[in-house]
Amino acid sequence: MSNDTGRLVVDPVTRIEGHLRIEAQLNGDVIEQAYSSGTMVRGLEIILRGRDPRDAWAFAQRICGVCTLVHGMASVRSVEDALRAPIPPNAQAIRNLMIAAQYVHDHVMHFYHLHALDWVDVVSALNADPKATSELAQSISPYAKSSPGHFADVQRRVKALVESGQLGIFANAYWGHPGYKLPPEANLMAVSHYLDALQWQREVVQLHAIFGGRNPHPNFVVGGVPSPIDLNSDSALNAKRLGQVAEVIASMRRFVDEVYVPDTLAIAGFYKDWGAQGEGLGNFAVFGDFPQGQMWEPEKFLIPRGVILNRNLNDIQDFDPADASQVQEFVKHSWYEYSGGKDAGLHPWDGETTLRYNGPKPPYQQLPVEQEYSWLKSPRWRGQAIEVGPLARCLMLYAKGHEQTKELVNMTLSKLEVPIEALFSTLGRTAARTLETKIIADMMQGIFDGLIANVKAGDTKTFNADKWEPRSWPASARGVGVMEAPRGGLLHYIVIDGGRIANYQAVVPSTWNAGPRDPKGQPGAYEAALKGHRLEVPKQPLEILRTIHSFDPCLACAVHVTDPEQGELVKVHVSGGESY
Amino acid sequence: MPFEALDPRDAGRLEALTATASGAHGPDPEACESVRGRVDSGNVPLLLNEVRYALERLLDDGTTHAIDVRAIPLGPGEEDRLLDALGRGELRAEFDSLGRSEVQECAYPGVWCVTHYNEAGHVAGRFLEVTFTPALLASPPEDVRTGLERLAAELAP
Amino acid sequence: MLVDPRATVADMLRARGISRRGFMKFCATTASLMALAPSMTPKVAEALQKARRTSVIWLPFQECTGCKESLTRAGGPTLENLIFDAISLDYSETLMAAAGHQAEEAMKNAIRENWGNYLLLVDGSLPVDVPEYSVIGGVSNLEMLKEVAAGAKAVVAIGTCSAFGGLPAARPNPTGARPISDVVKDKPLINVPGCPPMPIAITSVLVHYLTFGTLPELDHLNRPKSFFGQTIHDRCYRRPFYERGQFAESFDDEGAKAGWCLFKVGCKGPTTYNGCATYKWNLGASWPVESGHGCLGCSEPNFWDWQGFYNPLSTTQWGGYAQIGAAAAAGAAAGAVAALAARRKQRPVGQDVQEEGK
Repeated sequence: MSNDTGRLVVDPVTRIEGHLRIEAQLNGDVIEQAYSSGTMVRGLEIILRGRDPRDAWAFAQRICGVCTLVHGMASVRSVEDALRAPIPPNAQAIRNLMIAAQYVHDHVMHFYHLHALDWVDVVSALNADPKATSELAQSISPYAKSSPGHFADVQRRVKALVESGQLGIFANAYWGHPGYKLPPEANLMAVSHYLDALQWQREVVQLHAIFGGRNPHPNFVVGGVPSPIDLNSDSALNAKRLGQVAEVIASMRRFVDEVYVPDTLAIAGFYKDWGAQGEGLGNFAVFGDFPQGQMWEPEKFLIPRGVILNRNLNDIQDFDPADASQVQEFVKHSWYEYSGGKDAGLHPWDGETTLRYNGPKPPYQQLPVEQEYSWLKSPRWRGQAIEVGPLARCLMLYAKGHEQTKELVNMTLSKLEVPIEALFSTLGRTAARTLETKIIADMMQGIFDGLIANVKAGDTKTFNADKWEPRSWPASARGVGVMEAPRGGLLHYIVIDGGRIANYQAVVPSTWNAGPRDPKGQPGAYEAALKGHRLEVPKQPLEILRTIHSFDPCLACAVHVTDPEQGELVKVHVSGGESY
Repeated sequence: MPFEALDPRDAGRLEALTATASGAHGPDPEACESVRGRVDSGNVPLLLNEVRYALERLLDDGTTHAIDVRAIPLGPGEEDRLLDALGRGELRAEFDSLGRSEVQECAYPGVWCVTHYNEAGHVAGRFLEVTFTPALLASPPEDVRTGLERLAAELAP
Repeated sequence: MLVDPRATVADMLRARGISRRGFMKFCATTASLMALAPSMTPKVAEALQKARRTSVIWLPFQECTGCKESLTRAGGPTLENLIFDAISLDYSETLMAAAGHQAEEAMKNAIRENWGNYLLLVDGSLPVDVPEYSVIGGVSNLEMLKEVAAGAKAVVAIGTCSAFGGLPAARPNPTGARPISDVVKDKPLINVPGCPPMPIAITSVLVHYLTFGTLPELDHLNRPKSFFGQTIHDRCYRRPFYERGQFAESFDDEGAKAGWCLFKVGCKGPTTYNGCATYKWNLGASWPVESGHGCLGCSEPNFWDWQGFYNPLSTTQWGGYAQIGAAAAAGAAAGAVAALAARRKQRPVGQDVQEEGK
């Protein structure tokens, strides 16, 4: 809530993963400066130290249960990179399918269950005419669940909820805010798809269960995948299970084509003004993923690697996660200290952190943003603040001439009648996520076909045991696990010494995007993107939610600590001089 | 599909799968004859025996019995084998309320398989009932009353 | 038609045009969800006829959101069934439309209107010594828990972190993370562990409370007995291979392909009490052991600090090696043991409801 110093606080930012606080300094009704703060810490990387590197994935995976899989995947890759342990082609294909499934599942859920309510007024759906809703739905898609009866059922359900007086998750929201522009029929259609997407998602995550035993938190193994292939066995990947996978892929593609893409375009049509705000930094990085060989062959990634500066798509910079001059993390405005002082930047292999909370004692109203104000660090690429995520990937694919991306982007721009600059915006970020989902869902079929062809050719190998036993490892090794998580590029750095983890550090998408200012005062992506927003009803800052949600925040991911130098527990200093 | 037995050793399924996916040929059928990976938790024969003794009791003194199939730990493919073993009898009924439900008489009269699907078409519950008539086949008095009111309203001048 | 402000579950279903037969179907699947024998269905129907929608507040502490994600995977009742017909999810940061102070206000309203009657769900552990490690809306989780728990009818710790400390409390527990039970002392408390818990484990507790107004019977770790009453190993379809001494030695060797026991590649099934082997994950698609990976032991206290996920359980933990030898020798008796493993966890008719009067 805004106070008399013109500071507006949104905390908790809901419909995200984790604990995020946004403070906005207002000048009248315009955001002059914004500050992003992560308010929870668990200390995962300290916990990892001293453990068996083969176990690390299970710990790392619990960094986040929404993008469940990505940290487990980055972790096994970091160990395989350190040991130079190649994995069999079948295992790579299965992992690629699991990653792709994570994208499609996660992006659809983000759109409908986390982001949609910023654009869709649920209460307005009660005023819709089910018949007109059906006509609207059928005009944009062949999706089956579009009859007047279906929409009447959904409306009856919402009505019963509203009339019960117990609105539950829909209570006390910004319904009726003048920023909501959709007609009642579009709102009813979106509410209906909100429910359909809930149902669809629980079916398609079966792909993770088939390969990894369950979702959330499927299982992995360093050197391959845990589930063997044997067409003659009830309890291995057999024809029946592979058939289920094929069905899931078909269901994913159908939902994306018939529901997600048309809905995005239809809703975006009412919010074209959001194509001109919320850009932020203009710098983008992609670390690359979907390997067609081993992870140390980035030239064979289906999503290519590179950095874009100042919107310049004609000059892609090379990215190397192992280069200490490229990736650095800063803690100037974070509740940590560095032995080299608060202005230093450290490459993650040499990273160090000591928790040092010197913020206000809760309960507090406002954070001292000139000092430390977040549990997130500030990662930088060659000193530049950058944005990662679907928009970065879409731009990279576009810049590198990926045909389907170019077609989809151009189709979207022409359909919405907006210029290419509209990509660099809140709307562009949300649309890029949708287009990327289609690209990846379509890509799954090719990956699956490759897997089947390989199995038919007689190769059923899914696990490489050569580097399984620690006695086969070098005395010390270090590696980096690279992946593109749905929310953006992810790097897990590991140092192995004597068969145990000596140092572990995760540099995650939401740290790049949600981190605080660096020693040069450069804001992170969230902070930059919010600047200049005009709030139509400052007490109901819908605009802040729209732009923040367009990044798909994942805060548990973003907060992580290491303390590589000291064997003792980290010391914590709380304001007031007490130490714990 | 309660009674559709899907045999994982059916190479034809992979054939069909790949034919649509990539148009290539299936694996060598000879390679698929082994059944080395067959799952047998021991629970299927156990359940069939439970049904047998329940049928005896039903005839003896009319005691009915029901088994919640979801509560039994079965391995992959075993539920299909159980339902296969029970077979399909003469009578089958369906209704649609909160999703579809099926009441299927098994090949052994007095044994019924009741399967409830949710609105998304997923199995929400499956029960083996040993009884002369499953209760869900009867019209509930509450529904009869509502129906009567509707009919009376229709006929009202 | 206007629905009563404190509508019953039956009212909500009737408002949607569901027949009595549909309601009885709902009751049958609900009884099954609570691991009650099918003969209990009429009792469940009687209770649900009167059960009113319950206010639920879900607080997230040191968590990863995996537990809430898990709930969205529930097959029956689904999350949407719950939030439309059975509960009023008045605070859930992951799902709620409101944000910031309007979200806080929604919680305050729910607390005020349902004082003494709402169910408090918590996921994530709690940093007790240094509350600054986890703060929402400027308020520490510790303070928030005390405030919200005060008016709750009961507290449910969802997931291993809130039940036992879980991952944040793994060695060396850098933030001093604690289970909820260290703070909540004067309320009925139920633990639903798992990392994450199976969705059905969460929904069955909610539905039990909704139906009978009480918590289900608990074990010594405050876990529902119906769900956590037996080990993974007891219910595992690979158990006969264990009895015959047939073990996978690696992840795609012949034993792994044939579905042999995963004990030697580190399965913690023998010491883990959970329902995965019976209910399976993701609408029955599979479960960890079925997909070739040993059980991590994720519903047990301190499972992160057992001796590694790929080391076989040691004798000190379980006495397993001696049994392996015996099992291999006694291969012929495997049938009998498998039959034992099939024992169902359903309690005798009536027992559950007798508990309810308390």
